[in-house]
Amino acid sequence: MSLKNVIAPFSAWARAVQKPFTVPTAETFRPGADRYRGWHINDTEQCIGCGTCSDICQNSAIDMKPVDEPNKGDSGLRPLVDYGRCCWCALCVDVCPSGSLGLSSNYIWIDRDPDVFRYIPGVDRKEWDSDEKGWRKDDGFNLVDPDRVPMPMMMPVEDRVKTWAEVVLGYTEAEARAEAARCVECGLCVAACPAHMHIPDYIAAIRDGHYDVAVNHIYDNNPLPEMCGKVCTRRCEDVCSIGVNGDPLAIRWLKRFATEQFSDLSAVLSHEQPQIGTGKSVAVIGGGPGGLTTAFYLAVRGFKVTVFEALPQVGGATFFGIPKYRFPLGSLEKQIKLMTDWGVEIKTNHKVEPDEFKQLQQDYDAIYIGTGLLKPSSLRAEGEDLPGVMPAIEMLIDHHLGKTVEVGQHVVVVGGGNVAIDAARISRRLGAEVTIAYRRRLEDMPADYEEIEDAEAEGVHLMTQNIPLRVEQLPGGRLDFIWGPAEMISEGGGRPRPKLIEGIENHLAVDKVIVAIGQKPDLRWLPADVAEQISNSWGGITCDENGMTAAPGVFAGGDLVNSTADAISAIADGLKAVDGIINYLGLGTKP
Amino acid sequence: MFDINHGNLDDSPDVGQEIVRRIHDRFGDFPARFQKADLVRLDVPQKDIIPVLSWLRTETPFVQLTHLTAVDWLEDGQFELMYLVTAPDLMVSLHLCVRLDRAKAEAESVFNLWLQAETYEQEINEMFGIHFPGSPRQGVPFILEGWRDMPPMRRDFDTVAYCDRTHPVRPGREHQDSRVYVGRKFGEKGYLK
Ligand SMILES: Cc1cc2nc3c(=O)[nH]c(=O)nc-3n(C[C@H](O)[C@H](O)[C@H](O)COP(=O)(O)OP(=O)(O)OC[C@H]3O[C@@H](n4cnc5c(N)ncnc54)[C@H](O)[C@@H]3O)c2cc1C
Ligand code: SF4
Ligand code: SF4
Repeated sequence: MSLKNVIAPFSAWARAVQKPFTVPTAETFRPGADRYRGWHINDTEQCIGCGTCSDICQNSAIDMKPVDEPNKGDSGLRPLVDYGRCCWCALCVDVCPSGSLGLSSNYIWIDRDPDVFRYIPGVDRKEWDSDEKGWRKDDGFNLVDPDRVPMPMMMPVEDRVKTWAEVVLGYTEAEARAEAARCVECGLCVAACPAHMHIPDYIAAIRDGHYDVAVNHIYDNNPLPEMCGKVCTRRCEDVCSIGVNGDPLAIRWLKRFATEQFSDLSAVLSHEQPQIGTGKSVAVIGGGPGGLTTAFYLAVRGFKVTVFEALPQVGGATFFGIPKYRFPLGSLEKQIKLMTDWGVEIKTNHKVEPDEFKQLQQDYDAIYIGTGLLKPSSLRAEGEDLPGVMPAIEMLIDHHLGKTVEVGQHVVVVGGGNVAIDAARISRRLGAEVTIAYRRRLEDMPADYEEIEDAEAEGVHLMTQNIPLRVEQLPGGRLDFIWGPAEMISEGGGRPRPKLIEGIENHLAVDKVIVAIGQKPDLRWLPADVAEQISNSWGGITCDENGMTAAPGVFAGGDLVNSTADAISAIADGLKAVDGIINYLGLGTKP
Repeated sequence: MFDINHGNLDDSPDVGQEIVRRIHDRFGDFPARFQKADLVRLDVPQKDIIPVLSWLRTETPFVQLTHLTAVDWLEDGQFELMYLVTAPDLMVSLHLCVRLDRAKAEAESVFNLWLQAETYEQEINEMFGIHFPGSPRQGVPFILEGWRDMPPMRRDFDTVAYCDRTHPVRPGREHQDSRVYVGRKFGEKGYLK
């Protein structure tokens, strides 16, 4: 200890008789300058709880606190600032992706208790909450790049409709790493992904160039990630915090990049799962994404799993529905190969019929049903049975099974989902002029926005607010597609609904009318008593929280169970069934 | 043309261009960038910086040192000193930038040209650990009393670690990492690992 330290208390005493160095509080309040950096304010409605403010703070002055239950797009956390550490650098404000955070111009706050100088701005109300002045992020100023690295296309758009080749080229290594570097790792995407994939972890691994690590994160809860990397509905991107004021991270393209780095997946993937399923067998009926997920992760645990698939190839709608220019067959086969390499037995061209189902119940310890939606919804307009009016799903299946599909010179596709867009773009490639007729507005279309853009770029003509009235036969085999315009009406706060404007009839002469207004489950392959027992009012199957139907030991998932009807939801259902089957067989709660 | 040394620089249609031309003629072809109508940036080698600054101070209207600061180019192994020299009558400034060897971290003082450089050099000395031999208040604390750590504006200074060491986290502080929190709340799970 130095001499100075010893005498310090005494020199402090000596000051006791001097005039104090401190000054009394300003009697008149002097407002801070326009861009003064005072106490924090936060618009908590706009804040998404991403925690980026907390991450960037070089003084660890910000804690994230739960203030609400999390939902998709909002963690429910809000920043709490500890002024024992804050240095008012405003980095937190400058980085905030939602733009909700600011510093007020107020800088005076007096209290005897030092512990009060921490609060959750916007939640713990303060008198400066509505201060218009102070520090805000400048318009156009961003610490994180708001612009997505554009995805290069394989060929100019005019050539695309001449081939079945994949349209999207994929990122180069440099592009992928630059895109990955935009991620702030908030994890909001994890909530939005139905399978809760480890998104920030694989993006960070891509950024660092560790693609093997990325792929191991990716396969940890998705056995068809290359498919998802090409065609996923990417709910994750809808909630990306960078997307609030910029382009969301290209999560789908990054996943695609990582999985495409390896042609032999077993060489990079590994697992150490205990073989809890040894001696147990599970039958999976329907080789769609949901069934394949259940099969894969059970096989990894030592179960004997057999997949029964009616078609010559598994993949479900991702094989027979999604066009090859979006999801090439080779990519599907590569992912299926890993499954068979790791023990999944696949029986194709094997449609399960009622009697066989009963037998499977005897022979297997559990059953998973994932037979999807194969029955087309009808047009419900006069003339729907005329030759030339065809369901999109049948046309797609025929096409993907290599049968010749005649579309003629001009087709109209009725619908606005992915199935409609795919039928339209396939028809373009088969040489037809294509018009899409959709009941609602462009912004209401359930199809992926990039799919819609691609379709338009390939010359598909979009007609919205279009209600089919009837189809009539024209001389020479053509069809008259008769439709009326619709107006959008909002009732009771729900999404606006199209209403036919009576008295107007428009005509479109076409060769084919392709109907893509939805598919329904077809459970006729089940024994009548089982179908009765497990099906619900819309013809689908209802499951409990473990993915089990009303029939003990019979699990189900995918399009015929969930309401979202996309590949990743089917995969999530498949994961749920993995846990459910393990629990049902009393093999432990932890997979 | 006009003669910069006789004060009629203010007639120049573009004072910035003219002064750069003069510097180029006299000292060498340093890279110049016109940052704004009233601001020109010049990258000057270390051996030339004092002659350029002395000449500006004594023989041109650029008589005022408006600012002196530094940047740490950690990856390049260099520091950069940035002198902002202004011609007050013309309202034009020169940004003279010079790179130094980071390991040596030493530069000649301009205290003899501008008295106020003493304060800038004291601050840079404290914040970046760059030494200006002969400058009056080197090593005298500027705003950091009793500082014992690495100069805090050096980029290899770990601010968070320093903060954690010196301002211990107050009791009752708890932080939820959003990525971990969201995963837990939504039942994020792995099936291979
Ligand atoms: C044209 C089209 C485009 C799509 N585009 C996208 C997209 O871009 N992104 C996206 O995420 N999703 C898309 N989807 C939806 C997605 O493909 C499905 O949500 C997903 O495949 C559903 O998976 P599933 O597990 O329910 O089984 P499904 O994929 O529906 O597969 C069911 C399987 O069961 C088989 N089967 C039926 N009955 C029997 C039986 N009795 N015995 C044996 N096998 C049987 C069928 O042959 C089929 O292979 C698209 C669907 C279609 C049709
Ligand atoms: S960075 Fe902005 S949006 Fe994210 S938690 Fe902080 S204040 Fe909220
Ligand atoms: S102003 Fe700076 S020190 Fe204060 S909380 Fe924000 S980032 Fe941290």
